[in-house]
Amino acid sequence: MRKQVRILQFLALLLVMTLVAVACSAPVEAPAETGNGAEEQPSGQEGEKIVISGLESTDIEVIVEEIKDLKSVTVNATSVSSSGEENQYTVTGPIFDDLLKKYGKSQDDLSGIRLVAGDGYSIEVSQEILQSRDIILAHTIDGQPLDEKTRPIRVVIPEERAMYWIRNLVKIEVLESAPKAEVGRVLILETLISQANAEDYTYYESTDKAVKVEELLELLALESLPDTASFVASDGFEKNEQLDIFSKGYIKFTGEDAPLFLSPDLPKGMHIKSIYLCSMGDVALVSQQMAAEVLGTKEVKDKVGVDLKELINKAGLADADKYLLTAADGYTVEILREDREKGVVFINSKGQVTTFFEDLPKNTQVKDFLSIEGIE
Amino acid sequence: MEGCSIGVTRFIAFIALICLLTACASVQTIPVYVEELSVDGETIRRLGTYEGGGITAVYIIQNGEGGARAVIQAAEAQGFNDTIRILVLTNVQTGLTERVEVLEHNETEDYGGYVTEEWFLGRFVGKDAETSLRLVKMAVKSKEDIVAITGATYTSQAIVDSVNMCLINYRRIIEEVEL
Repeated sequence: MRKQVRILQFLALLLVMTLVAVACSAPVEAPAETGNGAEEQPSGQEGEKIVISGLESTDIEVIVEEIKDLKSVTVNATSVSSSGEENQYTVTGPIFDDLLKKYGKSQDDLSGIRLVAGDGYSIEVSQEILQSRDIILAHTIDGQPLDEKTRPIRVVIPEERAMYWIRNLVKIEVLESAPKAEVGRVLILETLISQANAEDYTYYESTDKAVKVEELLELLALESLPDTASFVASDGFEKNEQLDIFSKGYIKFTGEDAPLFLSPDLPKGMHIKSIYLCSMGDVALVSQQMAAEVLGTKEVKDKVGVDLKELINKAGLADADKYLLTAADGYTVEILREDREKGVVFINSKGQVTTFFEDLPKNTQVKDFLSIEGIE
Repeated sequence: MEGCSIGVTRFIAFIALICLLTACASVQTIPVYVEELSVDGETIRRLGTYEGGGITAVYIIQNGEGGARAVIQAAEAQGFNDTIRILVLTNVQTGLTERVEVLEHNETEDYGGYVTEEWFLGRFVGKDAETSLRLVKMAVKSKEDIVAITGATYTSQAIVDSVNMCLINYRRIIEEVEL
């Protein structure tokens, strides 16, 4: 009996030792995840200001609390992203026009404003939008105060694309109206780009080619630089950009969304896809490829391309009795006003943008067609 | 005397039961995402002492002969919206990264949401564990460069930081552990 007890004791001891060994060899518990996932809620906005420049002789600093004290409206608004994604929000905040009234102004008085976010993102709101839309300075979205990245104010312009709905508003610049300059020279973007140094630019999964805007501006040798560049994309989207911002970026000319204005240092919302037209003062750059999409093509003696007259008219080139066509290598040829409609701008077998005119001498076929301008 | 022995036996059995329960509670199952990276005949060992400071788990995959084939590490870093959790598999024989996966993220779909795309994660494959990776914005100029996702620099930086953390930890493991 005693022997049996000892055996039992031995077995129990063995079991205990085995289990202790197993327990000790078990892996160490992984540290608990540290990310709480929840963004910190605003802890009050005392003293936060938004700057309004250009409205009076000096900048105006508006306390956010003052804005929130204005009469608020609550509306249901849908934002549409550049990729077409729609999101619906219920937004609450005062209308910008009511803020302007405090300074004796109205949205209708303004020719344009630029909204600036804390991260440097900015966008110009045109006179057309100012005169047709309410601009809501939202402090509450879907019944919730704005989160840390969005506060103190999110601009909401119902019926306009999400790029206008800027978060973390820090400044509103009131823009002066500038008379639109008459276009005196139209350049073909593809040919201009071919004169610049191309660099690799990785865009999502592909490595494309891009050129510095600064280099393009040097090639243009403009006598005076305007303050803004105006863009029209192939889908009709229009946007103005400050030239000092534009000049620090790149034009990606191969791959998806080309010609695409972008910069590694600019928020993605400031990129401009599929540029058809870019006007800077009295110069307009036009993409032959995008023009073919927007304006369509015509065939002249087996040459399929864009109608020259339509191309320069849409670019805003002033009427003239004669026009001077210039190639990238400096070759020039003149055509008469009535010859414009005989011309087609196409891409030849070597990939060069080229002109062809029905019933005109062969010397009017300009390879690497760079520009056209009116002459006396 | 016999009663005393039975009492001792019962006491030992009770202690054994406690130990058994403790052992069961502390034994962790290997996560599926780690198991999926091993093949038949391989064993997975956890290296708890090399976890912490952003590295949430370290496993060694051993082949049939007991030699180490790969080190798998899970790590986390703060993305734009939230914490991003990733996995890095480094091949012990080559000393190169073989696989980087995103285990969990909450980034914005149109921006950092591209973080799970193979074309982005593929940029981390074949990197020498002896080096540190560097985020660049436009184009690769050296083997250590990783091009950011267009418009999602913050998210991309979080992944590069996490992978670098794993590479540093890997170098420590290789130096200190007999694999």
